[in-house]
Amino acid sequence: MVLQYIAIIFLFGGFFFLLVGVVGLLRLPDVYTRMHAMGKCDTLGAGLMLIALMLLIGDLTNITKLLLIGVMIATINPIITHLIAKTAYNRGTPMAEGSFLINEYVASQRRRRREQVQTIKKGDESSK
Amino acid sequence: MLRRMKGDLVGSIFIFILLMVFWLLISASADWQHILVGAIFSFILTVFWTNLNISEEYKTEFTIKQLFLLIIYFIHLAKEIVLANITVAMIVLNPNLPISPGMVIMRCDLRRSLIRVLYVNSITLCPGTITVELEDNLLIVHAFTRTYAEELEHWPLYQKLLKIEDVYKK
Repeated sequence: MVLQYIAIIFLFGGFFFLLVGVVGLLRLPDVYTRMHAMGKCDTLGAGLMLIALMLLIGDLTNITKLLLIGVMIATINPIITHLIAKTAYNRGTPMAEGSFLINEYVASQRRRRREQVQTIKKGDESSK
Repeated sequence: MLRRMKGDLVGSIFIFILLMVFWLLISASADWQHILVGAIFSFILTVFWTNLNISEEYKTEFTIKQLFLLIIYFIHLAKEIVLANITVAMIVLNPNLPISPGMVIMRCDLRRSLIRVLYVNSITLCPGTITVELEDNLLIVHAFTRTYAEELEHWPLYQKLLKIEDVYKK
Protein backbone atom coordinates (compact mmCIF):
# COMPACT_ATOMS: atom_id res chain seq x y z
CA MET A 1 0.00 0.00 0.00
CA VAL A 2 2.82 2.40 0.90
CA LEU A 3 4.57 1.33 -2.30
CA GLN A 4 1.57 2.42 -4.34
CA TYR A 5 1.59 5.89 -2.79
CA ILE A 6 5.32 6.25 -3.56
CA ALA A 7 4.59 5.14 -7.13
CA ILE A 8 1.88 7.78 -7.40
CA ILE A 9 4.35 10.46 -6.28
CA PHE A 10 6.82 9.32 -8.96
CA LEU A 11 4.08 9.24 -11.63
CA PHE A 12 3.01 12.80 -10.86
CA GLY A 13 6.64 13.94 -10.85
CA GLY A 14 7.10 12.49 -14.33
CA PHE A 15 3.84 14.08 -15.46
CA PHE A 16 4.99 17.47 -14.14
CA PHE A 17 8.34 17.34 -15.97
CA LEU A 18 6.74 16.26 -19.26
CA LEU A 19 4.30 19.15 -18.88
CA VAL A 20 7.20 21.56 -18.28
CA GLY A 21 8.84 20.27 -21.48
CA VAL A 22 5.72 21.01 -23.51
CA VAL A 23 5.29 24.47 -21.94
CA GLY A 24 8.94 25.18 -22.75
CA LEU A 25 8.40 24.08 -26.35
CA LEU A 26 5.59 26.60 -26.66
CA ARG A 27 7.19 29.53 -24.81
CA LEU A 28 10.87 29.60 -25.72
CA PRO A 29 12.02 31.74 -28.68
CA ASP A 30 14.19 29.63 -31.06
CA VAL A 31 15.16 26.07 -32.02
CA TYR A 32 18.17 25.71 -29.70
CA THR A 33 16.42 26.86 -26.52
CA ARG A 34 13.46 24.64 -27.36
CA MET A 35 15.84 21.69 -27.60
CA HIS A 36 16.94 22.50 -24.03
CA ALA A 37 13.39 22.05 -22.76
CA MET A 38 12.61 18.94 -24.77
CA GLY A 39 15.90 17.08 -24.41
CA LYS A 40 16.15 17.33 -20.65
CA CYS A 41 12.59 17.17 -19.41
CA ASP A 42 11.66 14.17 -21.52
CA THR A 43 14.53 12.13 -20.11
CA LEU A 44 13.67 12.73 -16.46
CA GLY A 45 9.90 12.60 -17.01
CA ALA A 46 9.97 9.24 -18.77
CA GLY A 47 12.57 8.00 -16.25
CA LEU A 48 10.39 8.84 -13.26
CA MET A 49 7.39 7.18 -14.89
CA LEU A 50 9.46 4.05 -15.51
CA ILE A 51 10.54 4.01 -11.85
CA ALA A 52 6.89 4.20 -10.81
CA LEU A 53 6.03 1.28 -13.11
CA MET A 54 8.95 -0.72 -11.67
CA LEU A 55 7.62 -0.17 -8.14
CA LEU A 56 4.15 -1.28 -9.20
CA ILE A 57 5.24 -4.40 -11.10
CA GLY A 58 7.94 -5.80 -8.80
CA ASP A 59 9.00 -8.72 -11.02
CA LEU A 60 12.66 -9.24 -11.91
CA THR A 61 12.41 -9.86 -15.68
CA ASN A 62 9.95 -7.04 -16.24
CA ILE A 63 12.07 -4.72 -14.11
CA THR A 64 15.11 -5.47 -16.29
CA LYS A 65 13.08 -4.75 -19.42
CA LEU A 66 11.87 -1.44 -17.99
CA LEU A 67 15.43 -0.62 -16.91
CA LEU A 68 16.57 -1.32 -20.46
CA ILE A 69 13.93 1.05 -21.82
CA GLY A 70 15.13 3.67 -19.34
CA VAL A 71 18.79 3.28 -20.41
CA MET A 72 17.79 3.50 -24.07
CA ILE A 73 15.79 6.69 -23.45
CA ALA A 74 18.68 8.19 -21.51
CA THR A 75 21.13 7.49 -24.37
CA ILE A 76 18.93 8.12 -27.41
CA ASN A 77 17.36 11.36 -26.18
CA PRO A 78 20.59 13.42 -25.94
CA ILE A 79 21.81 11.99 -29.25
CA ILE A 80 18.67 13.10 -31.08
CA THR A 81 18.85 16.49 -29.36
CA HIS A 82 22.45 16.81 -30.52
CA LEU A 83 21.52 15.81 -34.10
CA ILE A 84 18.70 18.36 -34.36
CA ALA A 85 20.87 21.13 -32.90
CA LYS A 86 23.77 20.22 -35.23
CA THR A 87 21.57 20.20 -38.32
CA ALA A 88 20.05 23.55 -37.34
CA TYR A 89 23.54 24.99 -36.75
CA ASN A 90 24.88 23.73 -40.08
CA ARG A 91 21.88 25.10 -41.97
CA GLY A 92 22.45 28.49 -40.36
CA THR A 93 19.18 28.72 -38.48
CA PRO A 94 19.09 32.14 -36.80
CA MET A 95 19.35 32.32 -33.02
CA ALA A 96 17.13 34.44 -30.80
CA GLU A 97 17.89 38.14 -30.53
CA GLY A 98 20.64 39.12 -28.12
CA SER A 99 22.49 35.81 -28.24
CA PHE A 100 26.16 35.91 -27.26
CA LEU A 101 29.13 34.01 -28.65
CA ILE A 102 32.15 33.09 -26.52
CA ASN A 103 35.19 31.72 -28.30
CA GLU A 104 37.09 29.86 -25.60
CA TYR A 105 38.99 27.69 -28.11
CA VAL A 106 41.57 30.27 -29.20
CA ALA A 107 42.28 31.33 -25.61
CA SER A 108 42.77 27.74 -24.42
CA GLN A 109 44.99 27.06 -27.45
CA ARG A 110 47.19 30.05 -26.54
CA ARG A 111 47.33 28.93 -22.91
CA ARG A 112 48.47 25.45 -23.96
CA ARG A 113 51.08 26.92 -26.29
CA ARG A 114 52.45 29.05 -23.42
CA GLU A 115 52.56 26.06 -21.05
CA GLN A 116 54.40 23.98 -23.64
CA VAL A 117 56.97 26.74 -24.15
CA GLN A 118 57.49 27.01 -20.38
CA THR A 119 58.00 23.27 -19.97
CA ILE A 120 60.54 23.33 -22.81
CA LYS A 121 62.39 26.22 -21.13
CA LYS A 122 62.41 24.39 -17.79
CA GLY A 123 63.78 21.31 -19.51
CA ASP A 124 66.59 23.42 -21.03
CA GLU A 125 67.50 24.95 -17.65
CA SER A 126 67.56 21.58 -15.89
CA SER A 127 69.74 20.09 -18.66
CA LYS A 128 72.26 22.91 -18.22
CA MET B 1 37.20 -11.73 -38.06
CA LEU B 2 38.64 -14.65 -36.09
CA ARG B 3 42.08 -13.05 -36.32
CA ARG B 4 40.74 -9.94 -34.61
CA MET B 5 39.14 -12.05 -31.89
CA LYS B 6 42.49 -13.70 -31.26
CA GLY B 7 44.14 -10.26 -31.18
CA ASP B 8 41.90 -9.17 -28.33
CA LEU B 9 40.69 -12.32 -26.60
CA VAL B 10 39.81 -10.64 -23.29
CA GLY B 11 37.61 -8.11 -25.03
CA SER B 12 35.66 -10.71 -26.98
CA ILE B 13 35.14 -12.87 -23.87
CA PHE B 14 33.93 -9.77 -22.05
CA ILE B 15 31.40 -8.98 -24.79
CA PHE B 16 30.26 -12.62 -24.84
CA ILE B 17 29.65 -12.60 -21.08
CA LEU B 18 27.74 -9.31 -21.32
CA LEU B 19 25.45 -10.68 -24.04
CA MET B 20 24.94 -13.91 -22.10
CA VAL B 21 23.97 -12.10 -18.87
CA PHE B 22 21.58 -9.93 -20.87
CA TRP B 23 20.00 -13.02 -22.45
CA LEU B 24 19.55 -14.72 -19.08
CA LEU B 25 17.94 -11.62 -17.57
CA ILE B 26 15.51 -11.27 -20.47
CA SER B 27 14.56 -14.94 -20.90
CA ALA B 28 14.14 -15.51 -17.12
CA SER B 29 14.50 -19.30 -17.21
CA ALA B 30 17.55 -21.52 -16.76
CA ASP B 31 16.71 -24.60 -18.90
CA TRP B 32 19.64 -26.07 -20.81
CA GLN B 33 17.81 -25.30 -24.07
CA HIS B 34 17.59 -21.60 -23.29
CA ILE B 35 21.24 -21.46 -22.25
CA LEU B 36 22.34 -23.32 -25.40
CA VAL B 37 20.41 -21.05 -27.76
CA GLY B 38 21.68 -17.98 -25.90
CA ALA B 39 25.28 -19.17 -26.06
CA ILE B 40 25.04 -19.87 -29.82
CA PHE B 41 23.60 -16.45 -30.60
CA SER B 42 25.99 -14.61 -28.28
CA PHE B 43 28.91 -16.33 -30.03
CA ILE B 44 27.59 -15.40 -33.49
CA LEU B 45 27.11 -11.79 -32.39
CA THR B 46 30.60 -11.55 -30.91
CA VAL B 47 32.11 -12.96 -34.11
CA PHE B 48 30.22 -10.63 -36.40
CA TRP B 49 30.53 -7.53 -34.25
CA THR B 50 34.26 -7.70 -33.65
CA ASN B 51 35.02 -5.17 -36.38
CA LEU B 52 32.69 -2.70 -34.64
CA ASN B 53 33.65 -3.28 -31.03
CA ILE B 54 37.26 -4.33 -31.09
CA SER B 55 40.18 -2.51 -32.64
CA GLU B 56 43.75 -3.65 -32.32
CA GLU B 57 45.36 -0.37 -31.29
CA TYR B 58 42.80 0.30 -28.51
CA LYS B 59 42.51 -2.97 -26.65
CA THR B 60 39.63 -3.48 -24.28
CA GLU B 61 40.87 -2.96 -20.75
CA PHE B 62 38.45 -2.74 -17.90
CA THR B 63 39.82 -2.51 -14.41
CA ILE B 64 38.06 -2.49 -11.03
CA LYS B 65 39.26 1.06 -10.41
CA GLN B 66 37.58 2.23 -13.60
CA LEU B 67 34.31 0.54 -12.66
CA PHE B 68 34.42 2.33 -9.29
CA LEU B 69 35.08 5.70 -10.96
CA LEU B 70 32.26 5.08 -13.45
CA ILE B 71 29.77 4.27 -10.68
CA ILE B 72 30.67 7.52 -8.88
CA TYR B 73 30.34 9.33 -12.21
CA PHE B 74 26.85 7.97 -12.84
CA ILE B 75 25.66 8.90 -9.34
CA HIS B 76 26.88 12.47 -9.96
CA LEU B 77 25.22 12.45 -13.38
CA ALA B 78 21.85 11.42 -11.94
CA LYS B 79 22.06 14.25 -9.43
CA GLU B 80 22.93 16.70 -12.20
CA ILE B 81 20.01 15.52 -14.37
CA VAL B 82 17.52 16.20 -11.57
CA LEU B 83 19.10 19.62 -10.96
CA ALA B 84 18.98 20.41 -14.69
CA ASN B 85 15.28 19.61 -14.89
CA ILE B 86 14.50 21.74 -11.86
CA THR B 87 16.38 24.71 -13.35
CA VAL B 88 14.60 24.31 -16.70
CA ALA B 89 11.25 24.16 -14.87
CA MET B 90 12.12 27.29 -12.88
CA ILE B 91 13.08 29.19 -16.04
CA VAL B 92 10.15 28.03 -18.17
CA LEU B 93 7.47 28.59 -15.54
CA ASN B 94 8.84 32.03 -14.62
CA PRO B 95 6.63 34.68 -16.28
CA ASN B 96 9.62 36.91 -17.14
CA LEU B 97 11.47 34.10 -19.01
CA PRO B 98 14.99 35.02 -17.73
CA ILE B 99 17.15 33.54 -20.53
CA SER B 100 20.21 34.88 -22.37
CA PRO B 101 21.13 32.14 -24.87
CA GLY B 102 24.33 31.85 -26.84
CA MET B 103 27.07 29.65 -28.27
CA VAL B 104 30.37 28.68 -26.64
CA ILE B 105 33.27 27.32 -28.69
CA MET B 106 35.74 25.39 -26.56
CA ARG B 107 38.28 22.63 -26.50
CA CYS B 108 37.90 18.94 -25.58
CA ASP B 109 40.95 16.83 -24.82
CA LEU B 110 39.40 13.37 -24.60
CA ARG B 111 40.65 10.67 -27.00
CA ARG B 112 38.71 7.41 -26.51
CA SER B 113 35.52 7.40 -28.55
CA LEU B 114 33.29 5.86 -25.86
CA ILE B 115 34.36 8.43 -23.26
CA ARG B 116 33.81 11.23 -25.78
CA VAL B 117 30.26 9.98 -26.34
CA LEU B 118 29.71 9.86 -22.57
CA TYR B 119 31.05 13.41 -22.19
CA VAL B 120 28.88 14.85 -24.97
CA ASN B 121 25.74 13.12 -23.74
CA SER B 122 26.28 14.27 -20.18
CA ILE B 123 26.80 17.85 -21.40
CA THR B 124 23.41 17.61 -23.07
CA LEU B 125 21.75 16.24 -19.94
CA CYS B 126 23.34 18.69 -17.51
CA PRO B 127 21.95 22.09 -16.50
CA GLY B 128 21.76 24.76 -19.16
CA THR B 129 23.91 23.32 -21.94
CA ILE B 130 23.46 21.21 -25.08
CA THR B 131 26.15 20.02 -27.45
CA VAL B 132 25.98 21.25 -31.03
CA GLU B 133 29.15 19.88 -32.56
CA LEU B 134 32.22 17.81 -31.62
CA GLU B 135 34.93 17.65 -34.25
CA ASP B 136 38.42 16.36 -33.32
CA ASN B 137 39.01 18.62 -30.32
CA LEU B 138 36.63 21.45 -31.22
CA LEU B 139 33.47 21.45 -29.13
CA ILE B 140 30.55 23.81 -29.78
CA VAL B 141 28.02 24.13 -26.96
CA HIS B 142 24.78 26.07 -26.79
CA ALA B 143 24.13 27.54 -23.35
CA PHE B 144 20.89 28.68 -21.80
CA THR B 145 22.21 31.57 -19.72
CA ARG B 146 25.57 33.29 -19.55
CA THR B 147 26.54 31.93 -16.12
CA TYR B 148 26.23 28.31 -17.33
CA ALA B 149 28.46 29.15 -20.29
CA GLU B 150 31.18 30.48 -18.02
CA GLU B 151 30.95 27.61 -15.55
CA LEU B 152 31.37 25.01 -18.27
CA GLU B 153 35.15 25.19 -18.44
CA HIS B 154 35.67 24.18 -14.81
CA TRP B 155 33.09 21.44 -14.86
CA PRO B 156 33.67 18.75 -12.19
CA LEU B 157 32.39 15.86 -14.33
CA TYR B 158 34.92 16.66 -17.07
CA GLN B 159 37.76 16.30 -14.58
CA LYS B 160 36.30 12.92 -13.53
CA LEU B 161 36.25 11.74 -17.15
CA LEU B 162 39.85 12.85 -17.63
CA LYS B 163 40.73 10.75 -14.57
CA ILE B 164 38.93 7.72 -16.03
CA GLU B 165 40.87 8.12 -19.26
CA ASP B 166 44.18 8.38 -17.42
CA VAL B 167 43.74 4.75 -16.34
CA TYR B 168 44.13 3.69 -19.97
CA LYS B 169 47.34 5.61 -20.54
CA LYS B 170 49.43 3.72 -17.99
